[in-house]
Amino acid sequence: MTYTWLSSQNYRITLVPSGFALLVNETVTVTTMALPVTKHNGADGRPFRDENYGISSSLIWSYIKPPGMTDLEQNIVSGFSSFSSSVNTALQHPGLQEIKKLGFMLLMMNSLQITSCLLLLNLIMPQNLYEGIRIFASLIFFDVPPWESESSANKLFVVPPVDSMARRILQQTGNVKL
Amino acid sequence: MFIFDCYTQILIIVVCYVILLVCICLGKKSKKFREVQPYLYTILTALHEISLMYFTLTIMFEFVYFDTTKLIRYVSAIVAIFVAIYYLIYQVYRYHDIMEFPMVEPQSERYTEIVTKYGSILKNIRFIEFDYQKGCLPIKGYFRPHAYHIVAYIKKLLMMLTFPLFYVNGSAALGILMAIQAFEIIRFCVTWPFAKKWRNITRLCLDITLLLIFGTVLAIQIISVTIFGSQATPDDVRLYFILGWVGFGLIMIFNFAYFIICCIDLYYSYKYTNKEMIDKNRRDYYYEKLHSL
Repeated sequence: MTYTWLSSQNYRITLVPSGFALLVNETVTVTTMALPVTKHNGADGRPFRDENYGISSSLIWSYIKPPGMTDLEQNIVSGFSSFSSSVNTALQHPGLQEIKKLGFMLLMMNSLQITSCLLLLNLIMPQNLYEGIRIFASLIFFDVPPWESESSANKLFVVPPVDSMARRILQQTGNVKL
Repeated sequence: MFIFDCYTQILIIVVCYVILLVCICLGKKSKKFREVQPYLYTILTALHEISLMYFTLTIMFEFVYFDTTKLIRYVSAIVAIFVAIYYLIYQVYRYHDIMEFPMVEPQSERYTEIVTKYGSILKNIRFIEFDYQKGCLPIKGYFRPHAYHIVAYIKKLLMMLTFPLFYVNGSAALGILMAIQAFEIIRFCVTWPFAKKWRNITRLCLDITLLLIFGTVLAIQIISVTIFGSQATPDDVRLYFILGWVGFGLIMIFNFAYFIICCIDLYYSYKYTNKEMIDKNRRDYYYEKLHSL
């Protein structure tokens, strides 16, 4: 952690995670100076103010530092990634798209059904496993097109969309005005 | 909309049924049309097999995306429900229809009918005698070789449903998948479904590989809880990636092994007809039975 003065009233705290971390909520507590509130007058009539240097303030910071892989591992993974993307792009052409939709590849490898569906599991996979699954899933699944990537467009039957829930909570706490 | 996602498969299944109907009608007069029927049944079986995943997932997504204010979603949901009911009827019918196969006389018309209809799923299956009485509990056939593929279809259906139903909790989904797969391995060992030893051993190894894949992903899920927190250590993260490579390798083995098996199946299909292979398995069974006396 580094601490840099920017001006007489501002400073910057820079937090650099050591080692490996993915998503960490870290509470940062700093001791700072409270703004003077009460005005006093000295015996000679000169004004002065109290300054409290013992004020403590806490903030929760979330930071991400993806763990690294070795160069060899990264090369292998990026090779698989580019290959999967190329396969996906190639199989999006008219005609080929229909063959993919038909599930022609499943005739050759019936096992693709179960391994490809592992992508639908609600967990964060390591990139190497993800690319290993994706290379096969590219034969039967399509990448989500950009116009369908917006989650707020989803309509749920029993649960409202996440963005509505978030907005409502913010409204209840008074952080967002209608 | 549901139909947009699966229209190719629905269309081809319908076209196959129409062609099959024509062949059945004309087959009474012409031998040529009778000879085409096993191929059509094979294609239909394959189409139902490969479309399982698409249908299951789209039906589940149809539920997730359902909107009471849109008429098109009602239409789509009704189509999805009809397709689901059709699949259920199709598999239940096949399950009961195939049950009497071991007791049917080889020269009878019924035998020819079963071989024509189910040749693609019976050709590699070990023959055993099994007296199936109509009306008895369906579970009696679960551990019989000739019902192996149809029950495996139910297993696959349950697995497919697990992904969307337990999406909220990744660990629960993996736990259920492992339980289903463990039961499948037990069923496989009890049934020992294939006629050839190498095929049984290979498929058993592949079933165990799939269980290991689920186990590896579950281990990744458990370890990821640690490394997402503030207590992450380089060793934990290294293990996370090592498990990733283990899963990567298992998935490669699993998929390529299935591809090789498919190539071998294609070779045998080119060399022998389904009927020849089924008759051979039947002969082998009785030959061994005579020798054991």
